[in-house]
Amino acid sequence: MEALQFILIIISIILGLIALALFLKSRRTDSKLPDGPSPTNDSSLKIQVVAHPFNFSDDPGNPLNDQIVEAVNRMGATGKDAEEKFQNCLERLKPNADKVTVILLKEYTGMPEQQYLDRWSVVQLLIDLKHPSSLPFFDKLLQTPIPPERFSDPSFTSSVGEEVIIRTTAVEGLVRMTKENNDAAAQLLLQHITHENFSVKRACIQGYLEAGGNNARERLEKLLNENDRYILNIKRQDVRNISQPKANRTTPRAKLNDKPGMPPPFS
Amino acid sequence: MASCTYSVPDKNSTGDNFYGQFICKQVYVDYFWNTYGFNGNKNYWDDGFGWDDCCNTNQPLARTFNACYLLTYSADDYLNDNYDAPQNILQWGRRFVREKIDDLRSMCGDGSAIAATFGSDRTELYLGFFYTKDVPGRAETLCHEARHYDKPHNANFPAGSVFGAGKSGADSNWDYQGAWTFGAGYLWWFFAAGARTTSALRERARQRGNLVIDNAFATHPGFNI
Repeated sequence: MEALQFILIIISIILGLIALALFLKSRRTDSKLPDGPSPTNDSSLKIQVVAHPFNFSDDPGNPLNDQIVEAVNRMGATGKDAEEKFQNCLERLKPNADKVTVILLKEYTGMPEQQYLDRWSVVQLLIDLKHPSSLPFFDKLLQTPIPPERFSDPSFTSSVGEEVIIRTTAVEGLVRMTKENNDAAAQLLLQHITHENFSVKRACIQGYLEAGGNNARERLEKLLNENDRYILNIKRQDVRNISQPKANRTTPRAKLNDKPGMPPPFS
Repeated sequence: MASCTYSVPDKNSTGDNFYGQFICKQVYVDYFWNTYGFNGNKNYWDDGFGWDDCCNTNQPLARTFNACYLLTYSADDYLNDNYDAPQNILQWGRRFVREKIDDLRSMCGDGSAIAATFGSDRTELYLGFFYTKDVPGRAETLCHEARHYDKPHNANFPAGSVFGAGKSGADSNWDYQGAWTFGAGYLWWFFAAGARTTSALRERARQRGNLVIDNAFATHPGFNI
């Protein structure tokens, strides 16, 4: 009798364990993410997806439109062949760079101010295409006053900062063209060394110093007012030559020691 | 419950489409979730934030995983995350973030900030983090916030700063080794030595890094990227 009771207990335990395992397995396959208990969130989000940031209203059927979308999308590529595929997109666009530039300028003008990243990507594509017809646009962009700050607390991300990044990217375009002996680009760099924003001014001065030839420094010293001449001493540096960020060697929490199981990057 | 909406371009320059094809593998999902402070916070990543659709790069969770992927694999020798010199923040940034941030939450936010750090290990990410930052910019933000567990900002922004001239939130100088040095340092290394990326994203990192160097230190470091 006692043996029978013992067997029944063992069977009950085994059945219980099987039921528990099945329950846990069903929970695991319901979702892709493991998780433990957590506090309550107070936010919910709904997103609206649009195909891309462009309008292309002048000529929706232009085959260059798709190439532009692809090039901008490929700017963010990752993987061993990311740069090669991005460059392939640029090469496909370059034979039509004049037409592409016209489309991009129209698109830039039509974009809402707050689409900072998308506006930047248009300027980046223009500087990668290096077509001379983009020079008047870069000039106009640098002349356009920076709109007032849109964020109530700009202490990490600032709308003025985003506008500055768009403009310093245009300055980079001028620098690249100046290096290819485009005198008009060099003159535009000089024209904007008095820009109202420090970063844009600094980028123009450093850019001209870097690309403007043997007498660039002397020319800048003559043109800069006394208060701005110190900018000539702010140097572009290789990151290997500066004081490096150093992490404090604190005792990591036990669970945060080197994590096992890091997979290799996808290839 | 706060609710928010956002319009997301499916194809643009953020990098999400391309990083997104990798992070969808279960091995990465598990690794990132368990490593970078998501674990235990399901309720902060559901209700449209991506917990039930973690491969969807239009939603915040996959966009954060993309930043984790970049943070983990952008050094050429990604396996070496030792803090000792001559290692650099591109290599040990991932280790630093995972050692500091143990409680990573997503929220709508009120639009005034894109991220914030509280207490000993809690970091909150808001809409701007997911939708106004490209993937390297999100990695920069994680490095910046992680540094706040060691150091607060200790100065006011300089005259003309885009981050709010005269207001608090700056670091006194580069060698203070504050959050701005860590964020700009990460971007600088990504520009100089980032692997598995494009020249366009590296240029974007350079421009953002220079913006930080020019505007976030009470005393300009005297160099640029």
